[in-house]
Amino acid sequence: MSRTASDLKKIVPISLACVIGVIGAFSYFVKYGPTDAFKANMVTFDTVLSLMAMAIGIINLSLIHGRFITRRRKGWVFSIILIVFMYAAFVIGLGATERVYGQSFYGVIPLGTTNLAYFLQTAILNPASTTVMSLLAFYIASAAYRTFRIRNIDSAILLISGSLVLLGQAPIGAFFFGSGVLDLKTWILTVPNMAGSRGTTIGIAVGTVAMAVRVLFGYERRPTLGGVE
Amino acid sequence: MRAADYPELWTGRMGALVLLLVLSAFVFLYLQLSKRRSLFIRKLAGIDAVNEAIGRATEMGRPVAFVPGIGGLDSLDTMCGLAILGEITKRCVELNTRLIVLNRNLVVQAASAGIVRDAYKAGGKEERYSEDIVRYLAGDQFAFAAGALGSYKRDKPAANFLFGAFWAESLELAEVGQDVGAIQVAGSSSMAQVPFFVAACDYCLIGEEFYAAAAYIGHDPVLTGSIVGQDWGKITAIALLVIGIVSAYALGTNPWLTKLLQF
Repeated sequence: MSRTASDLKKIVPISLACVIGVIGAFSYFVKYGPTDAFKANMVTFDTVLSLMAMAIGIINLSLIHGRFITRRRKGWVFSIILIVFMYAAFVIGLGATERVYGQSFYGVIPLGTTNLAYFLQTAILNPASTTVMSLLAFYIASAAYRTFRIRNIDSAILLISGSLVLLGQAPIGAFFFGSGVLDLKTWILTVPNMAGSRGTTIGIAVGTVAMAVRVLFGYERRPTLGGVE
Repeated sequence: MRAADYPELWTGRMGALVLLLVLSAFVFLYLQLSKRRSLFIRKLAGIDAVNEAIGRATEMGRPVAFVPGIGGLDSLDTMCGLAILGEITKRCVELNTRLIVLNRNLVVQAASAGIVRDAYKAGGKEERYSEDIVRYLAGDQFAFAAGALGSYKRDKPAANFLFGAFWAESLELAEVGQDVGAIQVAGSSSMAQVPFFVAACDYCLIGEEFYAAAAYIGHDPVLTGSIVGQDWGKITAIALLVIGIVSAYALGTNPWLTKLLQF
């Protein structure tokens, strides 16, 4: 690749990101017809690009796992399963008449549907996802056990405040200790917890601005260009 | 220029725009200054732990696992995670440590594969790059979580890095990482997930530390400037808070600062 082409490969995406990013930010702060329309178009364009990127991703994944299968790499059987199920879901999804994706997990399921895509989503994928999600209950317990072990003054404060909030949230707390525990829980959540949370949020906002400046003006090239220099 | 004269332009966010421009100016100023002279930044324990964890994985002959979150490329957290991935891969390439990158998003998969491949190339070890380093697991959130947990159990990473946009799967990943004995460093801007990471990981980058991580790890002198600019942004925010609190106490029901920021 010539030097000019290499430079263009770097400059064009950064310039596009910079111009579109600045106009997008401008339209948030100022109501102005042309920039608002431009932003709305860019949002639509983003959706189209994302779908095209997904298509490229599917092709990329098929090529990688196709190579795994032809070379009989370790775990190649799983590559077959992945490719078969990916394309099967795609073909079945083409025939979907119900709006499957994007609906609530716990939404009302119309009875009597015979649509296969809908069946796969509601009868297989949703219950399986919910099962994995439910593992969280056990992981929360084990994480809480480790966190609440008293090792120093910080963990002691964490244990005491955590226990008070837990008692305040559970009906049994007020039953045994009266409404005082509810007031204490409310105070912990709305004063020290809120103060810390807002401090972190301000830090995140400042960090977001710095990161956005680095990305939009080409100082942070890795995520956009994949370049590790 | 009065707001009443141009009602079609006004959104009541001009104060925020001025604040954004001030913060951006700080970042720009220090990005330029850092090109001329070296700037001091304080150390972060979580960042030092990244190098320590990779070194430990190398000594133990076990892999390093990295998850750039489950968000798309439109998320700034994912971008930040990918920037950190570049630095971690460079270190793994230097030390010949095996790396595993687990993805949920097809586009992020392609981007992270590019970053990892480029890092191997830059380190002169392109022949060591293989396509099973960066793995796509599943598009569904919990199918991805199940795949990642399986991968942790089979590969037993000695270091686990979780940097990006995470949702409910964060604790599952961190707990299983802990279970296989990995040193874990995590970072996310999600306030709902940070407590889980604090509970389950050895180190957690909170708030703006997460956005500064890539520059810290890579010792990039120019990007270091943006961290100093970021610090000045925080000082500005603190100054505004103090002025707001004092004026609220002194002037009672005249929140002039709020009005100023919302003009």
